[in-house]
Amino acid sequence: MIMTCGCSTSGKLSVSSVAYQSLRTDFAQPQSIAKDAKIAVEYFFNSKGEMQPVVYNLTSEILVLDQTKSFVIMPDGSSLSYYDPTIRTSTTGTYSSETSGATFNLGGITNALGIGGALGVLANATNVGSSHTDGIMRQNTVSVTDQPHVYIGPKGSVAMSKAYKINGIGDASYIGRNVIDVAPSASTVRFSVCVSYSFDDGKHYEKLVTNFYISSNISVPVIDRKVSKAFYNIYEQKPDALAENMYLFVLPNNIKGVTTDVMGEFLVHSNIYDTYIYGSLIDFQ
Amino acid sequence: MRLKNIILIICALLSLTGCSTAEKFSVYGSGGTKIYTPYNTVTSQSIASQSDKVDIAVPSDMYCGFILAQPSGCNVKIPIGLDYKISRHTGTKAALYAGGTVASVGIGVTMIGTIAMIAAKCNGDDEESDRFGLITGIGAAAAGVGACIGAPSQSRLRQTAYDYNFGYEKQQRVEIPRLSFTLLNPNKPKGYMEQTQAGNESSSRRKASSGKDVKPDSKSNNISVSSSKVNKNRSDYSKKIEGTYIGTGSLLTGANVDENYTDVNVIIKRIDRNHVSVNVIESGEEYFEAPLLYEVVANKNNGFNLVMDKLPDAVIRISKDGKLHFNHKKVNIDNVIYTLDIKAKKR
Repeated sequence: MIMTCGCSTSGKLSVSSVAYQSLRTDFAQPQSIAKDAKIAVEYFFNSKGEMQPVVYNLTSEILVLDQTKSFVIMPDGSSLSYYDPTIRTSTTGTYSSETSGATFNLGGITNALGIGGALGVLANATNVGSSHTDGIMRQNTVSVTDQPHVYIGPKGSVAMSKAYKINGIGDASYIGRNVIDVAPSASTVRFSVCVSYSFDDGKHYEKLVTNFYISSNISVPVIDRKVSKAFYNIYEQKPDALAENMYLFVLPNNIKGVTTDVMGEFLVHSNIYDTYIYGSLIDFQ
Repeated sequence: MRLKNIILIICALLSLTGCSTAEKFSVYGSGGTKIYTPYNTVTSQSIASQSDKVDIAVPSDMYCGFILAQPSGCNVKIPIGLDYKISRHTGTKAALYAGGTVASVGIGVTMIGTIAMIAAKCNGDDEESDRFGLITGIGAAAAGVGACIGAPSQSRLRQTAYDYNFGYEKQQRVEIPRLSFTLLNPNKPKGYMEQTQAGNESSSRRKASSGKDVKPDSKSNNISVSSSKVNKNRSDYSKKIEGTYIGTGSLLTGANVDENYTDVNVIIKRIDRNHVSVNVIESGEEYFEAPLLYEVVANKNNGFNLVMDKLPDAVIRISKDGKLHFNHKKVNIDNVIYTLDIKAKKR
C-alpha cells in the first residue's frame, strides 16, 4: 500500500510592484513644539491607510475634547464625526513603523526633550509610535471609548475613538499617475481633521484643523523578481524620499493572511513584512 | 527488538528533528554598513569591508520584502528590496512523499505482523509468534522512520516560503554609491516646500585637512531641495550635467594668483530636475565645508548655467560639449575673500 499525498500549495510568490507614498500637512512640519502651545495632535498611519490621531493636553488644566464636533473630512468630501455610536472602526492594519528621531517626544513632556526643546531620540517616557510599533497603538492614557466628551487631564493624552481609513493611503490598488512633490492643490488625495476642544469645561470650544495631502505617489513595477531595482528606481526619482516626515513603502503581493484548504487545512501566514512606515505628522495650537 | 525500545527510538528521533527552517542569503555592500531586518530593527549586522558580507537567515514562516541598510556615517535606515526567486523546496516535498510511503508500508506490515502474532499465540505456536513479533517490530520501526522523515517535512510545508514556493537570491547587494547624497543625509526641513535657503554672501572653505565627512553646513547654501516648486514641466537639466569634471584651478586675490591647483575634480550630483549639489575636490580633499547647491538653467548656447541663490558671484558654466568653468568670487578662507577659478572637462 502506497500512500499518495497531495502536496498542493498556495502557488508562487508574486510581488507586483513597490509603491512609495509621502504625506504632508499644508504647512511645514515644525522642528519643535512652541512653548505656549496648549494642544497637540499627532497623527499616525498604518499600511491600510487607517489614521489614528492622538491628542495631547500640553497644559496644567483639564482639556475637554468634544468628539461630536470633531470630524474627518474624507478625500471624497464626506464628513465623519468622531462620535457616532453607529460607526465602529477596528484597526486591521499594524502601526509598524520606524520612527526613531521623527516622533515628537510628547510622551516625555516633563523631560528635557519636551516643549520648546529640540526633537531628538526618544527618552524613557512612554512614547507613541516608538520604533517598530506592532498591532495596537501605545498611548500614555487609556484609550477612550465612544464618548461625546472626553476629559484629558493635565499633560495627558488620549487616542481619538476611531481610526478611520483614508482611501488612497497605503492602498495597494491605488493607481494614479506617479506624482512627486506636488502642491496641495494638485494632490488627488486630500483630507482634513477638525478637533474641537475646550479648556473652560465646555463653555467655549476652539478648533484645531489640520489639512493633509499625499505629496508623492510613486509606483514602480517589479520585473524578474528584482525588488531591489524597484526601490533604487524610487530613490532616483525622489532623492529626498527619506526626508519626509511621513512616508511608507508598500510591496503588493499575493500572500494571503489565511489560505484555503492547502494540504487539507487552513494555513495562517501572519509574518508578512511587506510594508515600511516611517514617521507621523503633528499639529499644535 | 522489543516494541518498547522501538518506540523509544522513534520518540528520540522526532525530538531531534527541527520543525522550522530559514531562508538564507548574503548581503554585500560598502564597509561599515549596518544591516537590519524589518522584524528586528534594534540589532544589526555590520559589513566589515568592501569585500565582506553578512549572512542573513529569514525564518521560512515569514515573508521579508526588504532589509534596512544604514551606511557608515548615515543617520537613516534605508529600505532596500530583497530580490526573491521561485524555490519549490523539492527536497522537503520528496521527504514528505518518502516519509509517507515508508510510514504507510510500515504501518501495513505492523498490522499484518500483529494479527499473525496474535493468531500464532492463540494456537500455542510460540516460535511462530516470535517470528511474527519480529515482523511487527520491523513494521513499527519503518513506520517510525517514515514519521521521522515525513512529520517535520509536513510541518515545514505549512511555512510561508514553502507554501508560496519562494526563497531569496543568495547574493543581495546594497549599492550605496547609487544613492544620492540627499538620500543619505535627509536633514532638510520637512513639510510643504518653502524657501528655506539661507542667504550668505560667501561660501566658507575650511582649512585643508583630510578625513572629515562633508556635512551640509546650515550657514551655507543648504543641500536640500528648497526652491519653490513650479508647475511647469521642465526638462531634467540636472541629469544632463551630472558627473565628474576633471581639470585645474587657481585661487586669486584680485588679479594675483595665490595658489595653483593641478588636480581638481568637480563632482556634480543631481538633486532634482533643476538642482544639483557641487563638490570641489582638490588633490583628494574637499575644498569647501559643505557641498554647494546650484540651480540649473539652460543658456542660449545650448549649454547650462549653474547659479546660486543670493550669491550671483558664484557661477558655473557648462558648455554643450562638457567643458566646465567654475568661477566663485566669494570664497571665504579665514575671513579673507578670494576668487576660485576652475576649468575642467567632463570625464
